[in-house]
Amino acid sequence: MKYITLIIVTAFIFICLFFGLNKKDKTLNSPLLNKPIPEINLVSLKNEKLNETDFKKEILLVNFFASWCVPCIVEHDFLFELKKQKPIKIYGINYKDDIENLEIWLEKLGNPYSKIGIDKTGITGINWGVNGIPESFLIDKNGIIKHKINGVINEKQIKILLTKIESLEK
Amino acid sequence: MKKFLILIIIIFFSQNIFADENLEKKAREINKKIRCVVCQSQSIDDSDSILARDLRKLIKQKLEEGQSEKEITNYLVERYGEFILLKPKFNPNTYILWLTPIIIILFGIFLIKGIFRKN
Repeated sequence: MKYITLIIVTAFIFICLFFGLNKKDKTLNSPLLNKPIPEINLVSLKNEKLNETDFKKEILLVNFFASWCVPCIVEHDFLFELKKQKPIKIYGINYKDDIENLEIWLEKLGNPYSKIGIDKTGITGINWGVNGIPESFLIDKNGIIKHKINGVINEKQIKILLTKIESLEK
Repeated sequence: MKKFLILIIIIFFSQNIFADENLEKKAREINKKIRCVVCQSQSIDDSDSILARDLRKLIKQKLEEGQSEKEITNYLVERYGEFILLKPKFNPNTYILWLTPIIIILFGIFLIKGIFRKN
């Protein structure tokens, strides 16, 4: 009897570890999902304002990026690809960057963004719960965060984004 | 008169220094409880990552604005989830985490008791 209980408990612990450690989706869900966008009040690259009023008209994507971020270079082409497949607005939030470097970067790689907000201090990043760039948020017409992508937007993520956008348009 | 003025100036500045020291101490206390989300099991007090530095700055700023520790941790949990707390709260999501060690200890005690009784 003693051994049976021991075997059952050990088996239970191993089963828990097996399923826990094999979990494919290791990304943490943002607590901001299905909530209104957090505070944002930035000056854009063209000296315009980027604030909450810019977020309540249409479905759009917010992409946190920087010229010093290597994965952002990989992602950049996919942002153009996304716009080609679905012409949605993409707002870029330039995270803790140097403006001169940013301008050179955009000139070299092109500019997929409708507006670029400058987050020099990183406070907007913290407000949006950003861990590390690139990170992107899909926002619906009412300014609600519907999806978050931690890391690079790639082909797979584009497919997910297109499905999400389609369901939001219904 | 001169001595009196000097005394007032000293009192005024020492008060400011003590207030700054208290605020710094409080900020460090909070920093030690906040996880550096981009590091491996480190608090933002121990980490030198960019995000940890920004969070330390923000916490100090919020304390200066007069916010309480609870208000500051709530602000961070709303954005990063409870994962940002090094010591997770006791709630339905963390029952297993908090209760498993107790269950295992109890099970061990009963097991040892059983073995001794048999012997």
